[in-house]
Amino acid sequence: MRSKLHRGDNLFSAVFVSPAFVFYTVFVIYAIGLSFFYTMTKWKGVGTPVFVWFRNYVNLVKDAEYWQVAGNSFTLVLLALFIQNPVALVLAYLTSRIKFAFKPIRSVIFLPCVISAATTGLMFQLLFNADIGIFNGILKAIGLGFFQHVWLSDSKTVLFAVALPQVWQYLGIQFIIFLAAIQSIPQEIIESARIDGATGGNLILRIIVPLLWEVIAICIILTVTGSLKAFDMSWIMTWGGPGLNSAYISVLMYRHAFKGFNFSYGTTIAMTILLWSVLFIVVFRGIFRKRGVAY
Amino acid sequence: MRKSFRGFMILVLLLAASGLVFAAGPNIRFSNFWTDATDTGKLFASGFKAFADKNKDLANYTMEIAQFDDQRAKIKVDLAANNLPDVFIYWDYGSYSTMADAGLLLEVHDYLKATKNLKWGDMPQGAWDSNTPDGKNYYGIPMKGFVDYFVANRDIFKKYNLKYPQTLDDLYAVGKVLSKNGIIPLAIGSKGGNAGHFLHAEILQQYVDMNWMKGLTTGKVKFDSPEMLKASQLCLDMAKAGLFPKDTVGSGDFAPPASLMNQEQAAMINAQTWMINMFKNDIAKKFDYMAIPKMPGAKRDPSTFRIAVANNSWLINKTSFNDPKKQKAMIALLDWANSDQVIGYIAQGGDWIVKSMKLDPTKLLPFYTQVQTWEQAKPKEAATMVYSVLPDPVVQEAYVSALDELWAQSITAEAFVKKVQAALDKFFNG
Repeated sequence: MRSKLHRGDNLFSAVFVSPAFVFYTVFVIYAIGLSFFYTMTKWKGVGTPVFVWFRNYVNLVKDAEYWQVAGNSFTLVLLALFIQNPVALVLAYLTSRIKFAFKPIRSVIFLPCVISAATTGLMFQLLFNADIGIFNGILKAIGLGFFQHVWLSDSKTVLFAVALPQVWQYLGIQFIIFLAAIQSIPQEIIESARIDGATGGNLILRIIVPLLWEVIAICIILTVTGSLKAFDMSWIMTWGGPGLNSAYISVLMYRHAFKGFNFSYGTTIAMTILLWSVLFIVVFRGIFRKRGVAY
Repeated sequence: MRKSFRGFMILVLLLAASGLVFAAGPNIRFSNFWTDATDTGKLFASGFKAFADKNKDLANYTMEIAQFDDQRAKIKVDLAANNLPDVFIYWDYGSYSTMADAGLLLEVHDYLKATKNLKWGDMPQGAWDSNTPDGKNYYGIPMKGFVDYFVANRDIFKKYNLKYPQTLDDLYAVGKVLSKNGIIPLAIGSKGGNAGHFLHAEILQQYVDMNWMKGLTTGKVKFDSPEMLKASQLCLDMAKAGLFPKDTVGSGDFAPPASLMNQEQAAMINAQTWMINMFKNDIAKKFDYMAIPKMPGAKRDPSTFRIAVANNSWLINKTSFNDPKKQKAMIALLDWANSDQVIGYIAQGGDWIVKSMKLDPTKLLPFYTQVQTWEQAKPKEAATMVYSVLPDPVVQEAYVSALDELWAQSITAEAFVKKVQAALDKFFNG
């Protein structure tokens, strides 16, 4: 039989949790539900949406433009996964070992995260501009003049030119998470590993990575879901062009919904970001559920 | 403690209720795209405040601002939220056809009948034409337009002993010399179609007239036509010949080409009047006005026409206007927005107006006056943009997106026209 004190505790907890719960329900759950409803309609933002069941999804599967931008988004995911996370982990490990100037170094690495995406995008647009930008000039100055290129207009390079600032800017987030996790590993474990002869790469791969597996998994999920949502750099630097060569899923969504008045189709495109994210999380957690070790 | 808290809450409620009573007039929302980072925006902000204060008995007037192209996204979000402003600036009919078709916009004769301060004849018929699907119903009051003008930097041409190109062959010859000396011949890129689509339209209309262009709106004329293919191929050939910036996306839009001209890294530009305040005064003084070079086999002399479009209008929320509580306040706002004083703000900021009125030259930018002089020197037939005559925003998007690829030499001219035709077919056939 529950005591009065217990019921009082539950009520007290509910009161404190309820604002966040209400906020989450209204702005996340309800919003997703409403978005899903709009994906089942034909709606141009005016009048009553006309129910069309799954026609938008069928059209999406047949839409070559969608698969082009999905491919671009998946490319960004791979770049972020295989550059951002490993570099952030290595930087975090190296920074954790620094005693002198630890705080300034940590701040400098994290600094790009606090710059607005618009500013970063504009900065890199100017940097990569083949007519007036300094990137080509820097390449020439260091003897790599043969690499000079029209980075933002060539359909073969524009996606990478647009992805690079994204990977660079948000590397700091993974870095700070990894740094905190590495610093929480008991020093005795690291010291014992060193005594046993583990150095550098071995230490990272065989000691730190297994110990931090849960944190790494979270960072991987954040990287993938963040990359799937990416919009800023593509839009600011090139508007997703030329054509759709540097457009992500969210850019195509924006073009359909906010330029083309096609809200239902744009919402359908946006919904696929959620679907790809959920699919990845389910598969990833299924495969890599029990890979970490505890200390 | 409890009694004093209850008393406090009662006081708060009373104050809130009295606030509601005192703010009892209708709320009128006015939306435009000039932020106070622009000269026009500063004039608008102070003028609107004075108007709102003077007319606070009529309504609570508020101004909402989204900068330039962001205004399109803002209005679309407002539309989806069933929260359209009462009066707002927007683009031509092709851009707002969805709102007009849904009956959300007032047919402007209803306002013109109710006001004494604006007449049909205050704007030229060509300006009204951007706001109608059929020549009978008009859904926007034109107030801002633009003209295309092609200029060359006289000092650069003098330096390399060059004559202004009259034909395409002249242009290629001049382009070779300029490129060899590190000067971009034509500061025209394409990012989101800007500003390449103006040159594309100017070249096209050396082969077709306005009736042909209007045929694109109804589907009577195919985009995938020999004339469109020819114009597009010419643009692609110019890109391949190095006449445009190397980085057509990076140096696209309006500010980067203006910057290239300001730094004298480019020799010629096909500019629009909203770029007037982007050029430095000392650079603009070096500009000579010229016609776009004549293309091979052109049916029309390019010196006899130029693109001149009333591309921005005030749109009126029909429901708000027909609300008896709001109508008087809306008429007062529209009278103010269309007054010589407010249209004058637009001109003073460097934008092109369409209303027939006298402007004080001492308040205008020197280059604005210069462009006016060029315009008035030789009457020209008005031409239009391909963008304006495309019937739907989705088709407009397909056009500008494909144009970026054409300028960047990522697709052939054939693929370009087919892409846009496919978008048109989808629009017309469902």
